[in-house]
Amino acid sequence: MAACAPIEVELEAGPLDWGTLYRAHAQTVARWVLRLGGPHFDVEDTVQEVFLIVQKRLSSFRGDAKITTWLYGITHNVVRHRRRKDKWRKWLGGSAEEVAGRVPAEGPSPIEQLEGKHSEHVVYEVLAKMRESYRTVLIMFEIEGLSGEEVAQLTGTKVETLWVQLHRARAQFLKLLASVDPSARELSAKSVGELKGRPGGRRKEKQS
Amino acid sequence: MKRSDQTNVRWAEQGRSVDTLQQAAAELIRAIPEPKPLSPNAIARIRMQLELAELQNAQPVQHRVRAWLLLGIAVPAACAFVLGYKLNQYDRQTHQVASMSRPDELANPPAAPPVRTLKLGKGRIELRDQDAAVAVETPTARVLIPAGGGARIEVTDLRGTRVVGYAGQVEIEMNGQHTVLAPGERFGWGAPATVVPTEHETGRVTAQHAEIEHSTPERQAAPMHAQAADVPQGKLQAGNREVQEAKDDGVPAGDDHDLSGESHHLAQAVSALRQGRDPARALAEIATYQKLYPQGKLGDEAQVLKVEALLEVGQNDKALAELDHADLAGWPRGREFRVLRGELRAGAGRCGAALADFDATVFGDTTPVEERALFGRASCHAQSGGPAAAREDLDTYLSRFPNGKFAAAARKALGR
Repeated sequence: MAACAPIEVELEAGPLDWGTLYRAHAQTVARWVLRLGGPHFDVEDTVQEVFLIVQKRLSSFRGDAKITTWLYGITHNVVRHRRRKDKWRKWLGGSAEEVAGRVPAEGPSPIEQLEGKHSEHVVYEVLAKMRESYRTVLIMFEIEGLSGEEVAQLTGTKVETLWVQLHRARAQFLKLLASVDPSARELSAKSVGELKGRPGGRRKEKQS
Repeated sequence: MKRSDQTNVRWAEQGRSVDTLQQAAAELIRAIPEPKPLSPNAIARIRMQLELAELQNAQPVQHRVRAWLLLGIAVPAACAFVLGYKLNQYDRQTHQVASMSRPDELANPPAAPPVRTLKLGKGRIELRDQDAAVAVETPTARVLIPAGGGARIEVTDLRGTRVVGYAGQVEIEMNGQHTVLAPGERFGWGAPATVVPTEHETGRVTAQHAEIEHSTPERQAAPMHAQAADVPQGKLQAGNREVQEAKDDGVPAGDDHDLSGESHHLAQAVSALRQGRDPARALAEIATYQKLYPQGKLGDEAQVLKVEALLEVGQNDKALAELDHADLAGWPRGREFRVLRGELRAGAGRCGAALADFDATVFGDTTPVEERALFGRASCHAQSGGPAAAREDLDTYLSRFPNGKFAAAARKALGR
C-alpha cells in the first residue's frame, strides 16, 4: 500500500509563474498522472501537456481555489482525455504497430511479474471499467493514500459526498473485480489461510 | 445517507476482512508499487519543451489573429483548387483505361502492359492478383502487397472503386514523385529505398510513409489475413465483393470461393476482437472457423487471432499452449509471437524453453520486438543462474535502448 503522498508544496511568495509552479509541482503532477493513468501511461508526455495548459491559463487563474486543486483539475482532465483517446484507438483497432504493441502489454513481462506488477495490471483493468468519478475517488483514497479531506479538496467535492462516492466506488470495484479476475477469491482465500498459520503476521508487516 | 463505520478506513488498513473479495482487493492494492518519480533528465526535457512553447507563443496576439485569418482564407481556396484539378485528371485517366476492367483479364493479364501514369491525391490503389488483394493507400497510409506484385490495379477514392490498369509496368505519381511499379524491381520513393519483392522473396519492405507486407508463394493467403486483421472492414468486404463479381461474370472463382468463406468467418472474429472488444465471441467465431475449415488456408491467421483473444481474456496458459504447438516461422508477425511465447514461457517458469525463443529473436536491430527479446533473455538468464550473461544482455540493452521501456529496470538490476 502506498504511503500518503505530500501533495502540497509551499510556494514562494510573489507572482505566480509557470516556471515556479513547474519546479514545485512537476513531481506531484507526475505522481497523479501515474496513479490516474495506470502503469502504462506516458507520464512524461502527459506532464508536459499539463504544464502547457498551465502556461496558457495561468494568467486567468484567479486564486479562488488552491493552486493544487487547480493543477489537479487540469491533470485529471488531461488524463481523462488521453484515456478516452486510447479507448477510441483500441476500439478502432489501431494501426498494425499499435495492435502489435498491445499484445505484449496485456500480460506482465517476467520482470514485471517478479516486481509484483501483476497486481497493478489487475487493479487498473478493473478501474478502467469503472465510472470516472468513482474511479478517481477510489484511486486517490485507496491507492494514493490521501485522506478523505484531501481527496475532497482536490476534487472540489464536499467530504460527505466523497464518502458516499467512495462507498459506491468500492462496491463497484468489488463487483467488477469478481468478474475480471476470477482468481481474486482464491488469492484472498490463500492469503487468509497464510495469515491464520502466522498469527500477527499482518501487524508485524505493517509495523516494519 | 448512512455509511459503514469502516468507510473512512482504507481497505489495506482494515486488517483481515470476512469478505474474501474485499480481502483480495486489499491484497492487490497493497502490492501496487510506489510510482517512480520523474528522473532529473525527464524534468529537464519537459522544461526545455515548455520553454520552447513559451517562445513560440510569445508572438503578439494581433500577429497571430492576422495569421489565422489569412490561413482561414488561403487553405479552403487552395483545397478547392487542388480538388478540382485532381477530379479533372481522374476523369481523363479512367476514361482512357475503362476497357480494362473485365474480370476475365485478371486470369490472363496482358503480356506487355503499357506504362501508364496515375496521379493520386488522397485515395487508394489496389493491386489484385488471383488470390489476394493489396491496398496501397495514398499518400500516407499502409501498403499490403502479395508476392509477385503484378496484378490488376484499382483506384479507390471518394467516388468509388475503378479498375485502371495492370501492374507489370505501371508508372505511379504520388506526392509529386514518379515511379514505375514492377515486380522484382528496386526503385526509390522518397528517402528510403523501396523494393517490390520477387515471387520467391520473402520479407518486409517499407516506403516513405507506407509499409509493404507480402507473403511467400506458398502462403498466398497471408495478405488476406493482413486485411482481416489490420484493415477496416470495408476493405475486407470489398475483397469479398470482388470474388462475388467474378462469379457473377461466369468466371470460375476456384479457390477464391473457399477463401471468401474463410475470410468471412475470420472477419467476424476480427470484428469481435477489435471493434467489439469481445474476445469471448471472437474465440467462438474462431472455433467455428476451425471446425468448418480444419485445413483452411488462413489457419495460421486464425491461430494468431486465437492467441490474441486468449490473451485478452487473460487465459495466458491457453495462449501459451497454442503457441507451444505452433510453427511460428510461417505465422504473420512470427518473430513478435516468438518473443511473446518466450515471455509467456518465462512467466510460467520455463526459462530454458524461453531462452531458445529469445535467442532466436535477438537480431541486433533496434525494433520494439528486439527490445523485448533482449530484456526477456536477460531476465531469463538472471532467473536461471546466469548472472554474467544477464549482465551482458542488460548492458547491450542499455546501449541500444537507453530510453527504452525497461531501461530503468535494467539500470536498477545493474546497480547504476
